[in-house]
Amino acid sequence: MDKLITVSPSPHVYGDDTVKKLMYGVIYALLPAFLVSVYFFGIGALIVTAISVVSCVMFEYLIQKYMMKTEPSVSDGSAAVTGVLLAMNLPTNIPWWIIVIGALVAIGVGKMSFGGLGNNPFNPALVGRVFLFISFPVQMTSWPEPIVSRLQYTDAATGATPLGVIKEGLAAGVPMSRLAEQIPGYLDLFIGHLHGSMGEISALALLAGGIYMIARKIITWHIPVSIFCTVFLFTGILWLINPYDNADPVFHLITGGLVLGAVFMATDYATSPMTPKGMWIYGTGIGVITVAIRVYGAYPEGISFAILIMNSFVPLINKYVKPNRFGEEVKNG
Amino acid sequence: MAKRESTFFNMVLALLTITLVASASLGFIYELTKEPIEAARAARKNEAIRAVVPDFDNNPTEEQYTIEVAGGELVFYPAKKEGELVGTAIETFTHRGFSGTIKLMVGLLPDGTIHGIEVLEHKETPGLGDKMESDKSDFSAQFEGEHPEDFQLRLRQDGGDVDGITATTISSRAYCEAVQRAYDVYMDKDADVSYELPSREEAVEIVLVNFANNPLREEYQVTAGGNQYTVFPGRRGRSYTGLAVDMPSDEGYIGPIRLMVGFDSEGVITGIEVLEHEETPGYGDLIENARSDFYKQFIGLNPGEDNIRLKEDGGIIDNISGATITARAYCDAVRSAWEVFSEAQNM
Amino acid sequence: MDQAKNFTKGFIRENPVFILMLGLCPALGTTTSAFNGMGMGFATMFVVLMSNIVVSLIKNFVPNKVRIPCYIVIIASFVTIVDLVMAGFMPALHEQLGLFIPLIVVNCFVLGRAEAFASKNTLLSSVIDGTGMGLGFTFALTLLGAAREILGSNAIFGLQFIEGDGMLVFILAPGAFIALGYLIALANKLNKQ
Repeated sequence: MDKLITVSPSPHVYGDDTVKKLMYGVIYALLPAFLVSVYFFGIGALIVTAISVVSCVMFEYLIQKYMMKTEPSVSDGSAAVTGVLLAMNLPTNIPWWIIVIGALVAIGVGKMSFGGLGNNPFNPALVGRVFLFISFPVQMTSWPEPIVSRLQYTDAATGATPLGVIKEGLAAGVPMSRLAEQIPGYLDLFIGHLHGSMGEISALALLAGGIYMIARKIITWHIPVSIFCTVFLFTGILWLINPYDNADPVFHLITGGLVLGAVFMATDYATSPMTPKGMWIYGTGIGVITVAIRVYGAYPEGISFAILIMNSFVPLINKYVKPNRFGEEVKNG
Repeated sequence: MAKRESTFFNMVLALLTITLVASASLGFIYELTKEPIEAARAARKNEAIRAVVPDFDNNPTEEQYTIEVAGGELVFYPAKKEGELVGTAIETFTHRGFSGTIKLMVGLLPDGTIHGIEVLEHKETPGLGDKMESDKSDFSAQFEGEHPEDFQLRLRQDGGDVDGITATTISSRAYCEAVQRAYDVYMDKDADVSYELPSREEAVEIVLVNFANNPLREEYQVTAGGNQYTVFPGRRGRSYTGLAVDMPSDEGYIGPIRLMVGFDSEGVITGIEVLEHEETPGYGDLIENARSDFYKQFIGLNPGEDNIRLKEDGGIIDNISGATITARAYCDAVRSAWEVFSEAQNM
Repeated sequence: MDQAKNFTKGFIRENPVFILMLGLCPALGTTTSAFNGMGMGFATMFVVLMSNIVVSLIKNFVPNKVRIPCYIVIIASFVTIVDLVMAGFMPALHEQLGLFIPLIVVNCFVLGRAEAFASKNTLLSSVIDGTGMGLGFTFALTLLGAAREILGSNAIFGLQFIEGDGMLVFILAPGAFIALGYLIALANKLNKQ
């Protein structure tokens, strides 16, 4: 059958944004967080990132060439970005074969099964991460000690994430004030001196990357800001009602994968809404689900699940929240 | 045969016939499978019991008893070998599992030492919480041979001695709670299982004082009030020093009580032992010598002269609070024993 | 009618799970291992076969307007028989399959065969259809169970070939959907060739 050519309605605006350019922009934006990670986790961070990127690119190439029988497009960098993002979501002491499985699931199941770049309803890196999280819960929840385990890979000493400490503690009936002594101070949390997955530790570095991407117009501010606002408001209300059993909103903002998820994972083009209004709905949904899982759910962190759940609403949001047509009069008021 | 029309009669006939045949065949199959289903159920339970207690030769499910606790009930299966208690399998539970209720079978030796634990039922996550099953990890093995008195049934991170399952704190904690519950209830309510009442032979030697013969060899029957009773005379040389009366009574609160009452040659009580009873743990079972001093008030009294009745009934005996009927039956049995004693004197 | 074709259609061409997409609930719920899938498959096959026989025998006796209630009563009776017999003689499997055995009653695959095939065809054809489709269902569930067991428990029919746990997600519900999706894709590919 002849290939169908889809022509989108006019205006045909020409921009110089190619996929390649955008993807490399994301990679630059991830650099600060990567460097912080290398500082705290040492060789583990390097090994995990290398394995993840190489296997993602390799699987994309193999699937495109031998299963889909199309011209491989790995040079556009999207597989590499998936690889880096997947690595960012893993603890740095995770065995290599788990990373390879995660890469296969991210690229094979999360992306290529749906037809490749742009057709995937779910963020591929998150599909890989959640798959690994459910499949290998033990390995996926042992977090290496920062700094001291810089020269170790899988044999690193481990500890719990601040969110994990809080979840366990509150479940056991320990008041928040006592738990606060067991977690690092806010400054440490902000710059990234804590247990966690490779890329999520430093809110500071991630925010720097996010600002870079907004400035370069790679992403817009709506999704991250709506997620932050929702999480802040929701946890703030809970905290005001009962400060003994709830962590304060600042803690919720700077720990866990929230910043990484809000800035880098939720803003993925193919899997997020197109209009600002849609983005607000999407971001608010992610925020509410994240807090609901963190506070009421079984898992300490819920941003990955929240993003995946809201990913599935994106077609619906896009259907009902449409941009104004070019030339249409904008209603005032 | 042509297809039948959908008339009212045809429809009723078809439905009636089909439901009748269906219910008849189901009834038949039910009868046929009833016994195998029962047997399969019992076999499963016995298998779990067998896995957690030492070798036994009785049928623990026949002797099972239940104790209600907050949130549910514990089922106890005493395992005996040659009549002697070798362990108790306790079906215990916790509602604090990661995914709800977990049911365990905990095997305790008579002194409370944990002999083995099997999981009966759980909905925990595969690969994490299900490691509590004995064939999936060594988690349950660490409890074996430990006595909860010096092995704290809490996770190490909570200050106990239990190594939790990696990344599965909630399930591990719930598991410990269920074991602790079994142990607590066992030790509190059920020490009578571990404390053995004296045998008839032992009781005779305890209640008689000052004898040199073997009273057991000289047992004989005495008829009093139309019933036959077994008595054991105590002698020193040729002189008669006392008599032990095996005194059953069927007036206990729950069931029969059987006492061994010892008298000296004058009819003064020298000792009493409870041989059998089924009274309520914590109340009626205080008549056991090991559990309260109730029996001591009788020693030195002579039922021929002293009024062996509860104070409420005009006598001189202090009641056991909360167990009046049991205490009254005990007094009655002691007086009846004296009747037997005086009957024996007159023979 | 070509009885050989009638018999083989259930495996790939009209496979109840992979192609007709009927009975997906037990297909997803019970296939945590190859053995469980096979047990569920055979239990369903027995019900399909027996209800096909009975429905085909009484097809002219049952008036059109009450045929569905009649079929349901027949199916429910056979399901209860399977349930009781399993509880009595295969307690371990019965416990594993649990609620899914009574749920065969509402498995549209069974009613579908009764309504779409047995009520319109001869006894012989219905027996062959029931056996073929039942085996196809068993085949599908065993395959799905095997795939999930291999990936999720590193085992096949209970035989462990690598120490330790596999990818646990395949034992859980999401893995059931993922594995079933890929098997359906595979069946479609085979069917097109």
